[in-house]
Amino acid sequence: MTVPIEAMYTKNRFPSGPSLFFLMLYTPLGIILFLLRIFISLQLFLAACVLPHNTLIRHVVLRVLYSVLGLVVREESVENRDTSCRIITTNHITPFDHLAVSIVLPCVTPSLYDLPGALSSLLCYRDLGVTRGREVLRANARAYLSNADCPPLLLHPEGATTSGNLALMKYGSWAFELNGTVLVAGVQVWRPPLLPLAPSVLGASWAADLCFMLFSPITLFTIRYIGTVKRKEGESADEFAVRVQATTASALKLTTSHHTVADKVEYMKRLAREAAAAANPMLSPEVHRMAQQVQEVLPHISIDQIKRDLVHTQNVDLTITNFLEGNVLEPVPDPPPLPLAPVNIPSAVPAASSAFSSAHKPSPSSSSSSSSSSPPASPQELKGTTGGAAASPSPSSSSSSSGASPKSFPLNTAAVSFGKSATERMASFEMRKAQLIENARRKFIEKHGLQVPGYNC
Amino acid sequence: MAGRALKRLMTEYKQLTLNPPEGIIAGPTNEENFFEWEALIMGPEGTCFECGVFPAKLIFPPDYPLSPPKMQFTCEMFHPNIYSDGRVCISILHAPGDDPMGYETSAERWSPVQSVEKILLSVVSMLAEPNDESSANVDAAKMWRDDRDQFNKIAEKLVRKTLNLSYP
Repeated sequence: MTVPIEAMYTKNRFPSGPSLFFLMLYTPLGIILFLLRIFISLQLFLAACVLPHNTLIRHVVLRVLYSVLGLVVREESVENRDTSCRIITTNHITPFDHLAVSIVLPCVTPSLYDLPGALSSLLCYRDLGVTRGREVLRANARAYLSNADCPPLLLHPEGATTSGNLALMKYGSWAFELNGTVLVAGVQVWRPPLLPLAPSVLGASWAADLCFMLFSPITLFTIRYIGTVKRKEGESADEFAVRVQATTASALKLTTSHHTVADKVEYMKRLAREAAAAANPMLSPEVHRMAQQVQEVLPHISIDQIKRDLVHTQNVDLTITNFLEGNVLEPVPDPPPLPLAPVNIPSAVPAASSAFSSAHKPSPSSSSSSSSSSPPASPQELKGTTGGAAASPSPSSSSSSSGASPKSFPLNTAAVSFGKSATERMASFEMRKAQLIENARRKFIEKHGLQVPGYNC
Repeated sequence: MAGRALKRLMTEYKQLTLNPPEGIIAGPTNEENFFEWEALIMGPEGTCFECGVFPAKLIFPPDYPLSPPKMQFTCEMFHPNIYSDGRVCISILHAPGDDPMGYETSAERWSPVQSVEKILLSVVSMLAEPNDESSANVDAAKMWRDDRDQFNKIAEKLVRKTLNLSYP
């Protein structure tokens, strides 16, 4: 059975439902408790620092310190406790697991932080060079274990914390390469059911976990000794790790999984990406989907611009309307000018130049030669010209001018403006249609030298 | 859905009204039904259809622009790629997937980024250069291949018809 990675970890520190109500009632008390604990534990902490190592009094002070922090430890199956074992492995739930174990069974754990020596030993850390790579760690661990006077080494083969409720992560094999025998133990963390604050949540720092431990009335760590497991003849470190994982899981009534530390890191990255997408709506897939719908209707507007508007409207139709009516904050670029005609139309260029030459040349002397070689008019000129042509409804007025300059029938059908009302637009449409047919007719007659009454007779 | 189609058609209408390609005009026949357009296409210069102004109607589906419109000439036409009833056989009017002729590449198929303007420009280039491989009118295709003079004569007759000029 595979456990989905989502189920392995606690995401929310706070409970939901009625427990949240109790939490709110408890909060003032919790804050007072938090402050008191900080003051008392600071003093005890300083006292422990100055007290000599490995003395009873220091041990007592530390025990009181942890109790003040609300960290209480209970042992189970003490008959399996074996103090001669040099390596202890447990599952990993909070950053304080090793402190809890060290209260009942003196031990140290490889330090993940660069702490000063005194603080490090007070917190049961030992610098074994974790940050300098696996090989250094292995060598340092071997050197440490060869010294029989040192307390045993506590390892968390999972490499990262889980919620401790469902499954164990894959046990890393390096912890099992060091020595033949390990003392296997399980850690369980309990908090009062009325205030079920999670001991550690996904992505939380140790400081946050500590603050909530000080806030909670009590955090009970149960250390269950499962027994010593010896590496069999010919058993690889991987197989040994799997066996220890299975033993631990069954003792804690959990299942096993194959998720590794790297999987957890990936999962946290994925969550961070999703959170970023939620915080920045421009990145959300929902907005992207809507933007594509808008772009189907308005292909000339960039997807970014559409998204910016969609973030406000959250509505495809509203955004389309905004762009069409110009209600957007930024200027909308005009649709890109399309080529007049595909290249394979042989007449595209001459047709264009004949359109550029004006039908309203003031003097008839500007003949076809000059009009065909005249440079293209500026857009304003062009608009005025074509608009004038489109707006002249009577064929006679245009015939009088265009008749004088052959081959200059405007084939541009553009209107000066896009009418506001349907009637206006339809009238303009009809007029421009008539104009186009009329101009084509003139051009045809001109070209074929026809004698048609009303045109050239 | 139809609301979006309507908005898109309005945008295209505006674009075609203010900035149309040379010799092309298109718009709704009657704005009470925005899904039925009329277009006038002028035959490209230097071809046998030169100066002819050919009317056509465009019928848009309610899910435009997801689906392409249908285009049909409303005047008499004689062209290898136009059916005798005026329907235009051109790849841009087909959505990718339905391929009546079987050899169109999907690059020139209908998609929402195409537009009425692109359809009409494609039709203009089709008038200039018939594709006699996908013939919708076999007679026209045959004549285009074998008897170009006769084809040109028929084309000129059609051109004169659209201009309401009698053929000598």
